[in-house]
Amino acid sequence: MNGMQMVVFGALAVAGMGTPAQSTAAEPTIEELLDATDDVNRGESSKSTVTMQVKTKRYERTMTMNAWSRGEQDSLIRIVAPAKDAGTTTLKVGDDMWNYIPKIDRTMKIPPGMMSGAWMGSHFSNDDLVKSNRLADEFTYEKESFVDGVYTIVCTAKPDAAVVWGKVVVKVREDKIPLEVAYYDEDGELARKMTFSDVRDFSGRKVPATMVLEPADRPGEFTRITTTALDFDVSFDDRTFSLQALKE
Amino acid sequence: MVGLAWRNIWRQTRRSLITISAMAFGAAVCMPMMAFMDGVYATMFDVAVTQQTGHVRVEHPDYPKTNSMFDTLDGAGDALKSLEALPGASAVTWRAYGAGLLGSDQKSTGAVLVGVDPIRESTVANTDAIVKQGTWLTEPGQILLGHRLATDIDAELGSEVVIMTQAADGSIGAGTYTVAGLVRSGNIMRDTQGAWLSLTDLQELLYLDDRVHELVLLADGGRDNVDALAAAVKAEIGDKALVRSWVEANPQMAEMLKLGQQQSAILLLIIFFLAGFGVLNTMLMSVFERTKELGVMMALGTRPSAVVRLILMEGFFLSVIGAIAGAIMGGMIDYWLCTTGLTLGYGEMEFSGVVFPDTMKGVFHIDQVTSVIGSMMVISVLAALWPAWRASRLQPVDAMRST
Repeated sequence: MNGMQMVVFGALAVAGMGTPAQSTAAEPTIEELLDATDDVNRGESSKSTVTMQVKTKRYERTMTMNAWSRGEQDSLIRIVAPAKDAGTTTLKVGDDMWNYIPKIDRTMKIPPGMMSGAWMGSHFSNDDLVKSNRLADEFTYEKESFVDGVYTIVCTAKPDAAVVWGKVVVKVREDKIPLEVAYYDEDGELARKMTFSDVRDFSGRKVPATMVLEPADRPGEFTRITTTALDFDVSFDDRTFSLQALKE
Repeated sequence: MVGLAWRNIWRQTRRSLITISAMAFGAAVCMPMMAFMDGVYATMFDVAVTQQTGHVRVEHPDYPKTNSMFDTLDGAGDALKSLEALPGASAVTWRAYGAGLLGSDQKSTGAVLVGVDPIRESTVANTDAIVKQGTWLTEPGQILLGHRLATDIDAELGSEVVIMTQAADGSIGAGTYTVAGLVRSGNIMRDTQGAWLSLTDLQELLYLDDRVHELVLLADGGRDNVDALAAAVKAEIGDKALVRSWVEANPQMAEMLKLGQQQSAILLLIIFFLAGFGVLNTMLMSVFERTKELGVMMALGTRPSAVVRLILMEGFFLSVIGAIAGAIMGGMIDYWLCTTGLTLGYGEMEFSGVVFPDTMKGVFHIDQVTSVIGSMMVISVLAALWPAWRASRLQPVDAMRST
């Protein structure tokens, strides 16, 4: 699920490879729209600052994080606030993930069995950060409607696809800015919904700065991620995404 | 007359010996089988009751359904004190549970965290017996790992392991602990995923303050007094929390133990038949053969009631000899079964979540002997009633004429 990657890792070239000029040139294909909704961060490098607000029945907390990413393979996310969790860092390299916890100065690899667990207490799972399935690859898709410049695309999981969702409904603007992604389980029940808003300009690209994920089975709960700073085409050396870098 | 009865049973030595050995053999088989079954059920009871539900368990009403870290007991500290004062409670402990990532930077796995009060826990569960290597928790910062979990993450005694988890306030809880022991609890889930640490360590890790998930009690006098204790706990706790006996908390285990008791009852029934028909047959034959002799006795003034007593006594002697012989043989097998144990050679076996060791040991209870021997003797005397009654109804004149 790469909407997550888009925002957290900052590589939010949601307007596609395109500049605004390109996006108005021709009518986009559905595949292009899905790709834009997915992640357009491949081959891109970025550095971003986001705040993540998690509201659950039991607690509400806000964290500020710095994120670095290189393509969709590598990323590093470091919590900078609140002080209690500051320095806690997640490293993702390919399909592997590690967490570094400063208060005990230890690194832990997340085992495969725990990848569906919550990431940093949010409504996102570890898998959400790591998985790089593409909607256009794992789903059959068709345009349901095109109203007021917004495409509604229904994606149905291919029988052999290794995805947890049965159906995904994507709403995306004709300029390839996503508005909403609704995830349905295999029984067709709405499982969670992600909405994008607050389109802003970062380094010359239009990006929805706010993303809200709401689990359908827990009304009132949500995780909101707001991008406050985003730079593209940052260069990194190999050390940036290494276990050594986790602790710095 | 005692001497007469005793001599009578040895007049047909072979027949009496066959009857006696049938009874003795039956008893010698039944006793160890009951001991074996009690061993099996003791293992299961240990896993299900002492390590988990206790005789009576108190928890947040939603906890059994949600297993949520947040569904803790309110006012557990006061409740613990008042429950300890209950006359029917022999031991009380409290526990908290959590889940987290446990391991090192090389290998880690999801673990079930069991927070126990090390001293109280030892009064409820057989903590020394479940520690396969190392020691039970003695100081803060220690952790015990299920032996399979330890193998999974390459941890051994003295290793340092890290736990990372989601704390109750939403922050990231983390701690490092030293492996003090490896646990073979017999509960396959716990042996594969369980980690035991002191209650205060777990509360600190999860930011639970002084909250716990359950209070667990053992009944004074064991299983028979569970219902009384459950009622007393309910009266003490009221509606504030869910109070359940182990039968309510783990109906499957209760069902299994009931099944075991039924099996023991079937074994006893077999003993009944062995003893009953053996004595009945022997005594009928014996009375029939002695028709003339009994006729003479009665003609000489022996009263019918005395004849009844004589025959009953003969049946009783047969059963006593059979019982003593059976108890000696059964006792020897019991001794072997309860000390050396029966090695099945299949390795560890898992049955409904409980791991049984390859060598199963029996558990001896004097009840096993008394129920087998007692029922055998009672049924033997009862079986001799009909032959005795027949003998007493003999008409001396007709009887003396018979050949």
